[in-house]
Formats: sequence, structure tokens, C-alpha cells
Amino acid sequence: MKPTDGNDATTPSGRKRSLPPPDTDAHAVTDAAPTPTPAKKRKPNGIPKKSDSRTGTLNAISAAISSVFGYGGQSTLVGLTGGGVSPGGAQSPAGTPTRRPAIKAAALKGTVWDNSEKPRLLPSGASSPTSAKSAKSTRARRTPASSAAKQRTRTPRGVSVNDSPSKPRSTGRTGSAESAQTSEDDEDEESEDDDELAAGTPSATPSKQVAGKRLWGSAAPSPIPKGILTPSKNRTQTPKTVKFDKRLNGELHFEDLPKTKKKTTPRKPPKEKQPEIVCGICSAPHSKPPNQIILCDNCDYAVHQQCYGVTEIPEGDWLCKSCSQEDIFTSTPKGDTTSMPKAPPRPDDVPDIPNLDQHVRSLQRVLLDRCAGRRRIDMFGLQEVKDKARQIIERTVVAGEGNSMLLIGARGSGKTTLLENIISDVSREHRQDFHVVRLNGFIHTDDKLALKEIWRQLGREMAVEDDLVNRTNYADTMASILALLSHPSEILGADAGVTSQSIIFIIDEFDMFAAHPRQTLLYNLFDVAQSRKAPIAVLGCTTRLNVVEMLEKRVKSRFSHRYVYLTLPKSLPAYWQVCRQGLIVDRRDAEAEGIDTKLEGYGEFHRYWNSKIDELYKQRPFQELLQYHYYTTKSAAAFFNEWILPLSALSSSNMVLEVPSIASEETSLTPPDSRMHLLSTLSDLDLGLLIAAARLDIVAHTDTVNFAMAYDEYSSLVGRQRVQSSASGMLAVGGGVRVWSRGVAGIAWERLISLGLLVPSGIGGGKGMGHGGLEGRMWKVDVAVEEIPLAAKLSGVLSKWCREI
Amino acid sequence: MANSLFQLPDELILAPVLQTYPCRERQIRSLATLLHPDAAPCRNLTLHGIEATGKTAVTSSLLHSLAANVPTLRYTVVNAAQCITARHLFETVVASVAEAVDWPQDDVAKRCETLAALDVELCRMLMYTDRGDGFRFVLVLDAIDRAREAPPTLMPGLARLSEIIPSLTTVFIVTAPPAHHLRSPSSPTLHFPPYTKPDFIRILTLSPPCQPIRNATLPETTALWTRFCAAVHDALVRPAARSLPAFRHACEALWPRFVAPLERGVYEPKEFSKLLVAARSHFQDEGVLNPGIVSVRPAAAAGQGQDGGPTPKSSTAELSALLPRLARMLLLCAYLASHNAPRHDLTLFSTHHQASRRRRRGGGGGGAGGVGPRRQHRKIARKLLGAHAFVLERMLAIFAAVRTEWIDDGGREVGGQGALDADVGMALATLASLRLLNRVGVGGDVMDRGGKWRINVGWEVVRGVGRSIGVEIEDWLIE
Repeated sequence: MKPTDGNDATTPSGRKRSLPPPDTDAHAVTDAAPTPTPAKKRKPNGIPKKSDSRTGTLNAISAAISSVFGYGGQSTLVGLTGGGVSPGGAQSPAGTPTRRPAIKAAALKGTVWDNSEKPRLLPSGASSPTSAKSAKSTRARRTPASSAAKQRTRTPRGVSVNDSPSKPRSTGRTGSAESAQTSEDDEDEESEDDDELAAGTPSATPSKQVAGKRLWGSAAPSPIPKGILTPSKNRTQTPKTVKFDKRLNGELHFEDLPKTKKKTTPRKPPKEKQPEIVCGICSAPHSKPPNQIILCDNCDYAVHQQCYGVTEIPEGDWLCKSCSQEDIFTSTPKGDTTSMPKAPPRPDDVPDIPNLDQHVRSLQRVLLDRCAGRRRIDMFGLQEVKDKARQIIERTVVAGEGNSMLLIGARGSGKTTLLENIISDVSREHRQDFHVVRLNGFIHTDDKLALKEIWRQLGREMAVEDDLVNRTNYADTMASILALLSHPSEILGADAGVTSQSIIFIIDEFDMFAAHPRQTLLYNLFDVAQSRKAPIAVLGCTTRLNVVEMLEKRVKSRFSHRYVYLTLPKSLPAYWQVCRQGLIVDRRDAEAEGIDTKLEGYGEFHRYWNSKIDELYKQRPFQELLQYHYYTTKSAAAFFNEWILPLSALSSSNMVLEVPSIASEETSLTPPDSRMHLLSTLSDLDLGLLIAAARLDIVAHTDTVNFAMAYDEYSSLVGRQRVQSSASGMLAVGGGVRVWSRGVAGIAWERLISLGLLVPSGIGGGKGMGHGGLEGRMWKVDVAVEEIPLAAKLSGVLSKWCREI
Repeated sequence: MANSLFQLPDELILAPVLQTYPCRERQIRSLATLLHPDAAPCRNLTLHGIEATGKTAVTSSLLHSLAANVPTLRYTVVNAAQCITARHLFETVVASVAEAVDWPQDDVAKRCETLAALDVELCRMLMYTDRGDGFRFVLVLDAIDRAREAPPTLMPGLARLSEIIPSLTTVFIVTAPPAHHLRSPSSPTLHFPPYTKPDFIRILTLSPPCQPIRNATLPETTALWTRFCAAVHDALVRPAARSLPAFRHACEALWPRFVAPLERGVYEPKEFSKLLVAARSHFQDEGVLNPGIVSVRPAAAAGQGQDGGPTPKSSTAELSALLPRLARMLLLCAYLASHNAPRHDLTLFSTHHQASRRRRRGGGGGGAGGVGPRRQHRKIARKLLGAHAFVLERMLAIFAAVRTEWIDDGGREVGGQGALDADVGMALATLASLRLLNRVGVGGDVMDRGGKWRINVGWEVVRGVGRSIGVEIEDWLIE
């Protein structure tokens, strides 16, 4: 405790503030003697309650002022408590009533006081902001600007001692509900009188007061040399301690408040200090009788009568609109209307075409199947590639060659579509001559499974009996397949006139097979293909450009090194060429797609629809959508996704095709970009904890946090926020200033974990994970502080936490 | 398939679902369009949204309604979070699909260990059997992102099933899909956004309290309930717990307390503001959101302040009341051993420096960081960083050092120091059996003095325990 004392004593604030009372009063002298443990200076806790009784006021004020001089922490507080009917009396310790009569006697004696002393003293008295009025607040209220401020002071709800408790609390220098009849001048005079009285009471004469001041300086010389001994340290620490004290909740933060007030003291006359409550709408502090500031009884929202449209101050409690929940009755019917199916009829847009309904629906069927990926579309700009691939397949099928080839291209570039198109083309001519085996690296995750699958698919295509197919022995299967694939002449030794059927292997996710140990399957397949044992074609599809480097040497040497690279559309028009198939069915394809072109009016409808799409293409939102997908993914499927819902909304009575807006939450079926959209779904507490945890990354330079650290940071942030909001006189409106308890915060923390916003740190199952439970387990925050305000709409308090590191 | 015409799902099918699940209209309509065989059935569909937004309920209810009206549609819902392994998941899928398509029971594969086997089974049941034109099967995989022991290829592999089987639609229900989680170019994704305040209130208004409260008519009760729900939303749900179950629970818990003045006849039903002001303390009761086993303590509920005092206090009181005095002291020693670095032990506990013991306080109760010179980065209070392991020997040494001092602080009624010596092992065993102290590592005897231990209780509890025997534990911590 010793260093703390020294620190306190040497701070300039302590020197200035603790103005010793003159030695006229024995009590005051004892108080003025620097107490050994003045670690905290508490504001006296007396809101002078009885505004109507002048003596009570005087008592309270004099007590309040004495407490300023007293500096004695607890004991002054006690005296005050005895004086006024303090609403927060419960928190003050046991009273020592001896103090009050002494001061009162001094006040009534009519001691000479110094007027010039008033402005200096006043602020120290008037330092408490108006917001400190709830009984819960540990800060007590002490206003020497007596009655005016007193009327501003709202009586705490629980212990309402007011004469007119049913009246709403209204604030203002003048014209409060309680003393509406008092004129302003009177009021001012009154307050001045009180001020003077208050100022003068403890300090009997000006000379004495000055003397007292000096005396204090000399009386407490010991701290000053101490401060000089460590001079720079202490002086530089002073502003720091202000900040630091604010962060601490509890009693320490009281210290800085009088200090700041004191600095402003000489400049401001006491009158300008009073309006501290500002209107929540116009931010103006004035409050005159026709247009007073009224406070919500539930959330302390302060607002002018005229700004809020309250013509008359109502009797009883008054709630703001958000607290009285007026808005829900207006919004509920709105929700009802949205549930009705909205069908904006636009008869002028509907063309006059016979059998329109049928045309529309058959067109929708084709287009929607294409958009949902159930019908293949032609790939534009890949003709060269297609020819090459087709040539290889045909040589295998027709000429019985063994071939291998890799198709390399990004996802959505049409590798599988291309192959399937070729195969359906080829099978039109040579249906009997080949079989197709399809493998997928995601499904057939090792070579045994793949081999079994090959055997199954071949057996199914060749209609082999079941028991042969269901053979599960790996070696047997391998031998059988090799026998099957080997050229019949090799096995049977028969003549070469026998032609076997070709087999085309389509291997999706080829790189996954290359990752299998020893690459047995690929080795055998490539070996068969290369050595002309049997007419097989191995076609691998992959997204990895360097897939050949993954192949073992023996596998690579058997690969034919034929590659085909598929590129995404290189220009916007090329992209549109692909994408327009989702919106337009070409005339020549219509028959093949199952549209009845002979139905009456088809030609007319076709022209109508094409002109409609062409017109749409020229519109700006459509272009934006197209360009968005072109410049982000170039994926036709993503573009098609956007059109599923608009296309399905068409009907013969409503032919308006609405262009979906880019990535709008309401209308699109596009996947979310990142996890950041989760932030908007979090509650204030979740966000507060997340911000606190993310702040620690910067503030404390730690990349892992646990719940204890995050909650500590959170509660200190909230504590600082409460101090600031009460110091600045702004009332705490809305959430964000309430400290939720550990239990609730723990639930919120677990929610953040379940949403994946907190990622477990350390190697899984390590010793960091084994202990600590909820408190101690370390996590990494998956978002940065800077990202949070972008992703979620934050309240003012939370966004300030993000801003002010 | 080719010659069928497009047809939006019938409104009659959707009507009951729309009615049951208000505020999900867009999702229900989109989902119906994307699942109905005659509309725009897609191959893979991802539904995502946070918990309690109606993903599973809406999907299963809609599918139930669709399947009842559309003969060509079958569906099944599999909850992947209930499957303990991937194999369990596959076998559950096979079994439920077989049940949905009325596959003969004896033909269902008993074993299905891999995705490839699942693929084969589904092909057998859905593709190789002629199901007629327009047949669709919808496989809903609920909570697939919480599947256990899921290999990284599980989701992409499941997404490939619908490419192999054309009549299959796979619906993935996830919380938040990572980018390209299906490894396919793009598939429709439907977002279930969280409910907004009007949505919440509309949903709760559908189920008002059926009994009218005393001194009020039913319409008055309903109107009051609506405003009450809105007030609960502002007070508890938006600040701390944005989910429908929490909201509903909070409303139900607070309603009797809210209307109590009304039933006593103090206020009229119209006087909402007075009721609200009267019930202010209830609206700040955190026990509503964090229910304990002991549900409502009237004293705590009434006099609860803003700080989260009550919960830790109560548990601390229990712990400090339950444990014997010696065990409490040992617990404190264990905390000191866990949270003080060994190099400070000499400073703290050595009697040699008794006169000039420099005992530095740790960080304040709420504030992190030291009092020392301000550095670039704030230092995190050591007590927040979690417990470190300590050697049992060290803890016992600390105990020996502080024993006399702490006992002098406490009362003499214990019976001198001799009474404390006897049952140290007993107290240790008590703490260990209550899991307040955990052994680190395995092997060795429990009473091995070289064994490592770690404390398992947090700062709040320890502070309370310390105060119960008159020790301010904060004085004994060195940052």
C-alpha cells in the first residue's frame, strides 16, 4: 500500500483538490489533516432531496461542500448522509451525525465568505454529471448549484420522496415540474445564494482560506519532495493514471473527475455547466418550459418535447416509443401483408400469342433444367479441344487404339460436360462398340475401391453374372480385370480377327488417384493403354496444372502426355455466349430439347422471347450481374444459379423477368462469400466478447485468447464506457453498457465457438486442450478487429471499441 | 422428362407449411420450387443459417407436405450429427432410403462402409430400378457439417452422388458453409436469416397465454402479451441471446412476474408503462438466460445489481462452506503455486525477508495490466492465462510457509497448528477426488511429491475461498 500512498499524495490533483478547511472548525481541521490512506476520494452521496425545504437544502449543500474540503473519504460521506435524505443511503456506511451540526452552525453563523472563491469551488462541487442519478450508481450526486441542479436531478425510482411522484421527471435549469412556479431569476439567485453559502461555509474568511491553502502546501511537504525525487516519472504518470483509472471500475475512477472539472473551472461560469442532458434528436441541451427535455422512465432516453412530438408532459411514467413498444403494432400488419403472394399484374406486357401458357411452360422446363444443371449445355470456344478429345475417343472406339489423355481446367470450365457430350455423340454411331467406366476421386478413395467399382461397372455393362461381380478379393478382381483387358489373342492365342469392345475410363479428380500409394491403378491402366493389350482410353479430369509431376516415374513413362487445357471464357461476350443458353433456347435446338415447335404460335413466341432477352441484355442491372460473375468467377453455373428463381416465377399472366440484383440476400441463391455474414446475426454480447477478444490481438499482442482474458477485457471496456458516458453527461441509451455476468457471457462464448468464429489453437488434443475448461482453453479469433464494423451494423459503443484500440 | 411442362408447386400444398412457419415465406417458396419434381429440381442444395432459424423444421415439414401430394416424390431426412462415425452415417442413409422407397427389407445391404458402397447401394435402389418418369428422391442430410470423423472428401463425395444418380436431390443443411465446400462449380444455396424483431414478436404472438390473467379480458391479455414480448426482446434477447428458444423461454419465465401487479389489482391492463417500470428488475434478471439448477432465488432476483455478482458468489459460498478449512487452505496454496512463477517464491514466502517483504499486488479486480510503466503492449494478468502445472512438493512448501500466517489471521478456534498437520494427505485426497486439483500426466504414485498437479478452479472461486478464511489472495500474487 505504501507506493500507492505516495503516488496519490504527489499527484497535482491531490494537491489542488484537497483544499483544507480553515481552522475555525475543529472537525474540519481533523478532516483536513491528510489521512494516511486517501486512496479513493468518493463523492459524497447525498442528493438533496427535499427541495421545498430551504433548510434541508442548506444542510445538504453545506454538508456536500464540507465533504469537498474534508477529503476524508468515508467520513465525509457519512456526514453527508446524515445531512440529506440520500437516496443511495444504503451504500454509505454507518453515519456519524456529529459532523453535520457543526457545519450547519457555521453556515448559520453567517460567516464572511469570499465571493471570488466561488467559481473555483463550485466546479469541484458541481462536478457530478446529471446522469449519475440512479440509485444503483455508486457515484453520488452533489450539486452546489443547488435547486436548479436539484430539480434536474431525477429522484431515483425506488425511493421516491418527491412531493409529486406522479409527475414525470423533467429536466432543465428552470421550469422543472416541481418548481414550475418559480421564476428563472429567482432560481438563479437562489442558486447563487446557495453557492455562496456553500462556498463560504467551510472557509470562514478569504484570508484564512488562502492561508489554509498555503498551510496545506506546507503542511504536506513530505509528498512533494518525494515527487521531486522521482520527478519526471510522476509527472508523466499523471495523465496516464487518468486513463488508467478510468479503466478500473470501482472507486478509483472518481479521482479524475474532479480533476478535469477543476481544469475547466476558471473558464466557465457555473451557469454554463448545468445543461448536461442533451436531446437525443437535436442534441441541444436547452430545456425551457414549452419545450422541455423529458426522460424515458425505462431507458433514460432524453428528448425534447417538440422533437418527439409530446405536446404535454403526461401524468405518471413516460416511456419513449421504443420502450413502450408502440412500433410493434404498426409493423405486425406489415408482416401480414408480405405473406400474401405478390403478383403485380402487368397486362400490357403479356403478348397476344396463341397457346402462350404452353409455350412458356415448356420453355421454362428447358431453361430451368439447364440452369439447375440437369441438362448439358454446349461449351462455346472449346471446339478445338473438343475435336482433339473426340478424335482420341473415336480412335479408341473405332480403331481399337489405347489412349490416355488429361483434361486440365478450373472448376466449372466444362471438362465433364465436354466428355459427356462427346460420349453421347460417339455412342450415337457406335453404341455397341464401347463401354464407359466412370470413377471419381472423391468417392473412390483408394485403389481397391476403384478397382472394385471398375469391375462392378464393367460387369453391369457386360451383364456378367452377379457372383462374379460380387467377388470381393482384391487380387482376384485385379487378375480378372487384367484378363478382361488383355487382348483376347494374348490369352487365347487365337487369331487377330477377333475385335474386343473398347472401354473408356473417365476419371474425375484425377489428382486424388495420383495421391494414392504406389498409384497401382493408374500404373495398370496406363500400362494397358500403352501396350496395346486392349483398346482402352483413360481420360483424366483434374484442376491441378502440375498433376503430371505427382505421377511416379514408372507411371509417367506410360502416360501418353497428351494434355488438353480448358480455359474459362476469355472475354465478356464469350462468357455471355455460354450464359445465354440458360435464358434462350436456339431454334435449332428446340426440337431436340423436346419443345413442340409445331404448336401454333411457337415462332411468334420464340421471336418474342428472344427480343425480350436481347432487350434485357442491354439493361444496366443485367450487365452488372453478368460482369459481376465474369469478373469474379467466370463460372456459368453461378450465373445460372441466379436465374432459377426469376425463371420459375414466370407465368403466362406475368411475363416480367426480374433481374436478380448482385448477391442480394433476398433473391439470390448464391453461396455466401465468407463467414463474415454470421457477424450480423450475433447479439450485442456476442459481438462485445468477439471485439474484446479481437482487440487483445493488438492491445496485448497475443494471438490466442481464452474466455477469462476476453471477459476481462470486455468488462473493463464496459466499465470504461460507463464512466465515460456518465462523465460526459450523456445518458446511457440502449444496450452495450450493461455488464453481463460470467454465466451469460460463457454461453455467448460457446456460441462463438459453435459458429466457428473462434478456432481452437494449438495442435488438437495437445496439452493445451486438455485442461482449463471454458475459462482456460485457448482460441484464435477468426476475424480481425477491422473487419467487424464492415460486416455487422454495430451500435455506437461497439464500433467505438473497434475504433479506439 | 423432356416433354413435361413446368409447373409451380400448388399453393394448396404450401398453405399449411406457410401457416405453421411464419416469416419464412420466401424460404418455403424457394425450397418448394427447388424440390418439386415439376418445378426446378436441382441436384445439390445447401441450406444454411444459424441455429433455430427453422432450416430442419421447414424442410421436413415441406417435404412431408409435398410427398403427400406428389406421388413421384420420396424423401428421407438423416441427421448426421447423430451418427458417430462416417460408416454409421452411410448405413443410416442406406437404411432410411430403403425404408422410404419401400425396398424389400431382406435386400438392404447390412454393411456400407465407404462412400463407394453407399454410391452402389443408392444406384441399386434409385437408378437401376425403373421408377417411372419424373421420379425424384430427396435426401436431406441434416447438420452435415457436424458429422463426426468426417473425412475431408465427405461433402464433395456426397455432392457427386446426385451427378451419378440423376433422380436424386441432395440437400445439405449446414450452419455456415465454407467457400466451395462441395468442390463443385456452383450449386443453389438458400439462406435462412435470423428472425428480426417483428418476426420474433409475430411468432410469439401466435401462441399467447391461453388463460386470460385475472382482472383482464382475453383481448387485453393478448395485447399486453405482444407488448411484453417486445419489451423482453429489447431487454434480453437482442443484447444477449438472439435465438427463438431463448426468447420463448424468457417470455414464459417472465410473464407471471410481469403480470403479478396486475393480478393483485395494483395496475390496469392498459398501464403498460407502469407495469414495465415495476418489472424492471425482472427484465435485468440474467437467470432467465442462464438458468441454473436452483431456479429462482427471490432475494437475488429482487436485489440483483448490474454486476454479475450472484452466480459466482453462490457457488463460492457453496464451495467454501463445503470444504473443510485445511482443504481450503491447500486449495489456495495450489492456486498460488499454479499462478506464481517459482522464481518469486523466495520473495513471497521466505521468512528471511520478513521485515521487508515486498509483496506486490496483482492487477485490480477488473483491470488487466500492471501498475508499472506503460509499455507498448499491455501485459495480460497472469491469473487470466490459465493455470500452470506445479510440483506437489512446491505446493506443500508454500503451505508450510503461509500456514502460520494464515492461521493467525483466522480464528484460534481451530485448535492450534497441531490440528492442521495431521490430515494434509486427507485434504489433498479430498481436493483431488472433487477434481479441484488435477494430476498432470500419468504414472507414479498419487502421493509422489514430485508429481505434477494443476488447479481446476478459477479466480472468482479462489478469491471467495480466500476471503472465507480471511486471506486476500490477491496480495499473494506476483505479476
